[in-house]
Amino acid sequence: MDNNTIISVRDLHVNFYNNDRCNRVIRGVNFDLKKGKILCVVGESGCGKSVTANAIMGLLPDLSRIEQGEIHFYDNDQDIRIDQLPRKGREMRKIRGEGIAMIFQDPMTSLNPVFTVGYQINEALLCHHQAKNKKEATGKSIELLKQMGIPLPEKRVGEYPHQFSGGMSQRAMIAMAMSCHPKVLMLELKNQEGTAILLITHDMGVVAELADEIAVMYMGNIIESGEARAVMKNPSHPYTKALLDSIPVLGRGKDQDLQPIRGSTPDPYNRPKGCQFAPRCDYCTECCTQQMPEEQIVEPGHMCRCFHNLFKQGGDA
Amino acid sequence: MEEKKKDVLISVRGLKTYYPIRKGVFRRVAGYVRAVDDVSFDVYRGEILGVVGESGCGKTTMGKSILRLIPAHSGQVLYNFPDGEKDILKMEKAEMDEARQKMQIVFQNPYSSLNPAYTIFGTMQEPLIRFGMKNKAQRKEKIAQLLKDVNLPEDCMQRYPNEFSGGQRQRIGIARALSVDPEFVICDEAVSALDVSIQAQVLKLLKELKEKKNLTYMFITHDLSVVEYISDRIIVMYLGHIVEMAPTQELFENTLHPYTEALLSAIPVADIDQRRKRIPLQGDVPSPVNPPSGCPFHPRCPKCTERCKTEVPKPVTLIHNGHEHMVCCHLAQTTKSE
Repeated sequence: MDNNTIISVRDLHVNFYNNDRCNRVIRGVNFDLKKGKILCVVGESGCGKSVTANAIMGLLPDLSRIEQGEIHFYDNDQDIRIDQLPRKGREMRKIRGEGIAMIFQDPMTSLNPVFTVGYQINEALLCHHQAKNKKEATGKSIELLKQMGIPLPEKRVGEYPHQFSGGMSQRAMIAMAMSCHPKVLMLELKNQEGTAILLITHDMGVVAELADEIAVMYMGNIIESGEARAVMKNPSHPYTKALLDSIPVLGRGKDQDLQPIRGSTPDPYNRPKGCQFAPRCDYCTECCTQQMPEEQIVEPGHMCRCFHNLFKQGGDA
Repeated sequence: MEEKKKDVLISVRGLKTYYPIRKGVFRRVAGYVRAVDDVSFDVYRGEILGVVGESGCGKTTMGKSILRLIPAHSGQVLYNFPDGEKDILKMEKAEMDEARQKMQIVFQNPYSSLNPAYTIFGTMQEPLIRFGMKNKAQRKEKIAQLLKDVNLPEDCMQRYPNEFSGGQRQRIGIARALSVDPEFVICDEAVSALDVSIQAQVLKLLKELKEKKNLTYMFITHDLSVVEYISDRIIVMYLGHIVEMAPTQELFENTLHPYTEALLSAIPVADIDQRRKRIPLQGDVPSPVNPPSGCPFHPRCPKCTERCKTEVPKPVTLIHNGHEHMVCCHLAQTTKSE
């Protein structure tokens, strides 16, 4: 483990229990988050991207459990096992905000409409002892809003969320998340200061633009991960390849041939036996329907879970 | 291709849609949100006309005003019926109801646009009954055919919306819109709520259906890569105004309005070789209640001049490489005329 790793997730399994049924949402996820790097987690809705992030934040819903695996958070040479901390305990509350901050998908609903934006940022600052009193906190809040490029921060700090536009609310959320200088920032959708960023999105455009590393998830597994260029240029899992072939790319005009992925994602309560992508995959063979492939290293720093190594096939040709 | 398709289906002239803001005990009208402010354009038969812009720029309001789902303040929407051109906004109710058969809409959210208490058959038969198909067996046959057109099995008919995924629901929404054999379909963010892998399915389907049924689409979206893929012509809207309108390739290659330029540069492209320079816009979209004087874009425009602050630019149609290219900017006009 090198010193730059801030979060390390090993063989994580999360189950959700409801209606006497069990949904194995996360089925053995491994990844590392490194200092100053942006890891983009891509996948369709329901693939477990958000659950992974919530597991790290200790924000899983009540009817769910981390069944197996480890989440390490390395803070000043301390190794903190997030998966073993009580979700609502004191330590976890301290990590949330100071260690890891999260920005949610919808900026319009993540701010409390009955308090001013300044009050909400102050709250985070005061809670985590970043400011001694209200006056100091307000000063810092204004500074933060200014850093985020919000015009007239002195005036804006006293305004309510409904007076902010969508983009401004999102920036206020980022200001709040950055207020305690967290080590890890988790963004659902849409940055700085040596912070490791986990960016959760389904927009390939955002990924191509920002990612240092990419992890592609499908039905609870990371099926391919690696350095951004390697994954986007040489996708070795059929799902990654299909995903890249199915989106229109700006600048390629009207003649681009989109290849939709056939079928739809399986019912999580009635999953295929082997590889989760097998029913929709063009390369599917007998062994795919029987067994989930293990993680394979296709080239240094590029992992793929597939029996048919497209990387070898495509790379040599 | 543009040359032979000059058959105008709809011409919109000076369309304005204002939402009143009511205040006080007597709900007096205190002001207006100028959602769509004086737009004029033509829709040609058989084309796909893309409409792009940020949220709140009036794309959806414009679409709905054309279909008269939202009452317009003033202006004309002239629709070319077989028996001559008529203004949709001035039609009597009975006449309007008949005209609705010609134009349909596919909504953004496939989860809220289907009634959860009705089976798919129940939802889809309503427009058919309205337009005179009284025989149930006939309706069943027609719906089965429509479902087949959108690649869904026939037995879907007896099922309820909750049994379908987002992509399937959107396809049902498309089938419903097509059930009355319309000529003109507005797709209002029809693929925005869908997962990436499903988006391609629906986009391809829309293209296929257009060829098969000779449809004309107005495709409203904020996703420029989608609009580039699907449209023949593109309208760029800003704060209720059309700022630029040109055939797709022309617009992308020869961008004239600074807003379109900024918009194009701001889009993250799903191609790792294309990380590029951005033109970040200052500030936010101004409120349509109090639009700025002069050019609506001037407070954020990197090329703003004194003239832009006071004088509203008039739309000018330039001919470039044989394409009509409409732009609403003082600068583009002066550089071209020199």
